[in-house]
Amino acid sequence: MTIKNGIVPAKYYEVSYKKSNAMTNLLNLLGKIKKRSTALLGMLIIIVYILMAIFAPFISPYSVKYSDLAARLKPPVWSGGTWAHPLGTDQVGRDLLTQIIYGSRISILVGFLTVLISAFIGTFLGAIAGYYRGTVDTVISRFADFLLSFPFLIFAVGVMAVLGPGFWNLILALTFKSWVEFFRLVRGEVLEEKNKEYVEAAQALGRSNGAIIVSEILPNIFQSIFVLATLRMGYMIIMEASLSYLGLGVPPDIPTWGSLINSGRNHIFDAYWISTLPGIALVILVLSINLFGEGLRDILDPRLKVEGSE
Amino acid sequence: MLEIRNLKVIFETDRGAVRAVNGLDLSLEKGKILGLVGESGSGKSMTLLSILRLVPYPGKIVEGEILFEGEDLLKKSPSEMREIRGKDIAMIFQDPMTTLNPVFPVGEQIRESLRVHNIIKPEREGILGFLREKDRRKKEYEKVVELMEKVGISYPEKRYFSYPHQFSGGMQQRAIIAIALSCNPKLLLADEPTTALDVTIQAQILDLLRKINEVNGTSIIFVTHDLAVAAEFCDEIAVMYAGQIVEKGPVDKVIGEPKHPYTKGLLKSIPKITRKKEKLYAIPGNVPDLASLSPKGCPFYERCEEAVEECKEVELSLIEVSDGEFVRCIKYL
Repeated sequence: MTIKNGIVPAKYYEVSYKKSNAMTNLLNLLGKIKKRSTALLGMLIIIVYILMAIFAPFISPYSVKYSDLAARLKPPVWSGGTWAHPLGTDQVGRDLLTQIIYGSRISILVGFLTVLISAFIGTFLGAIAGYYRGTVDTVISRFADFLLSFPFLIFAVGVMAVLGPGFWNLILALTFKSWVEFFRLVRGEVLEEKNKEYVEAAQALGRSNGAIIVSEILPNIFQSIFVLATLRMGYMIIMEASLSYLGLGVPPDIPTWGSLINSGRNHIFDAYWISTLPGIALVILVLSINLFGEGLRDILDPRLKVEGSE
Repeated sequence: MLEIRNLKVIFETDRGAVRAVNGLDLSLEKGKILGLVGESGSGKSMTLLSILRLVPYPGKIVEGEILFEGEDLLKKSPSEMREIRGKDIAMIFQDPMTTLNPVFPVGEQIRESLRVHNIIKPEREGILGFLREKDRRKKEYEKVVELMEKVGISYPEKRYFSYPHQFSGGMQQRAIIAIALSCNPKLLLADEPTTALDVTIQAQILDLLRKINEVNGTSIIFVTHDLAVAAEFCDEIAVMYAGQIVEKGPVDKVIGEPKHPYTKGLLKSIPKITRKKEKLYAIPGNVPDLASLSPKGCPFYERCEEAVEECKEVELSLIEVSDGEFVRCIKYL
């Protein structure tokens, strides 16, 4: 490399410019996750679940509509069942393994979509309220407080009762309240970041308010939003299961873990597996997401960074 | 090129209106360095922020004129003002650590400042310009490296991708100066740029600012509470007290033969190594509470050693005592 008048040839620029792209950042992050066994375990289990949901038709032993009335209430293999139905069957002879695999689709999709939408809405409103303050802030914040005063499940049950069952209605009912969490986080963080000198410097440089919010402040608080999103995802999945358990989720012909747990309620003493196994699937997924989220928080949040760990 | 007339900045608080800047007059010629000195809370920073019209809420400019190259900045629209910020008038802040955005590489932040005011124009407009984005970035990169070299950052091509926390305080301040210089401003507002740095680095940064002033002809308003630095670095000095200028003039006049009791006090309170075991001088009392300051009389009255009864009542304005030297004191009336 030759340096002429102190200016480096553009070629070098291209090479080093690539150095700090999204891919390397991701690889960096993965390297850090690898050092934390719980976060790594959580991430691997989540990946298995996602693959399971995507490839459900190929890996489940039976079709989702299949039921064999002759093979009702068969126990899982460890309770004396056969390998034809490894996790047993329910009261109408549906294979439980198939149902659980298909059930993961709704859980993951609902968890992911509600968190994505509410993170988007919450971040948008939170940034505006925190940056501009004034009347906008007051109006949105009071509305958020109003929503917060309802218990989540009661609120979701109420909304679902009005809207009726359905996938998008479910998403709507859950998002309607869960954006508040993101709103409060982002508003608080923006309030804090706004007073830092780099924002003042950006103003003194002539940047517009919109540009300051999007390209100066948000990159600084993105990590917190990301961590909250992972933690909220587990909660949303439980909410979906709760609503399905109450018969207020998606239409009954789509298997979900919540409706499976509900359908096994009458047989809880003679066929424990119908309720228990979807419950275990749910617990493992939510636990993995929380472990992963917690690990991410430790890695990303500079305030929690242990001295000398970097 | 810059003239401030009767500037008043008021903060509306629960305790009443705080007059942070109270009828300030100031002028600056092209290519000159003006030092603004005073205690904490005397309104130095607010004066600078008023020039850019960035006085933070709940403060507001209630009166006055700020003429920059003949145009009143207070009458500009917000978008016109954004055009001026950074491009014609740039600002350097006190704490370099927090002035740079912690999540972006330093070079990218300097490049961004070029982008804000379209310093390197795209070769073509519209979608074709977008396609040539890479070429434009390359040019901007070269310009940034040049700027970084100019402000004395070694290995600029390597430092381009470093993050602010990998820089030392002096290097961060150099990067901030590079950002300020990126658009070749006519006026540079420096808000205590050397306070957070140690003395050797302080001298280097001052040298750098001096060089910029000489080479580019950039006028500088230099806010500091360090009189020694101001005496060394500035052409003119204005001493501020309670939101007003109490004395201003060429540096040798103000430092050499101070007129106002406050300036005298400030100069007396500088510790000297030549003095032997002497108690350090301090101006008695504290900066007055700006919220309960009476509009009449001299604000320095209660702390002044040379005060007389009339000081309580007198209406004062700046009095010219000799060529270019002004004082706000009853003694020179």
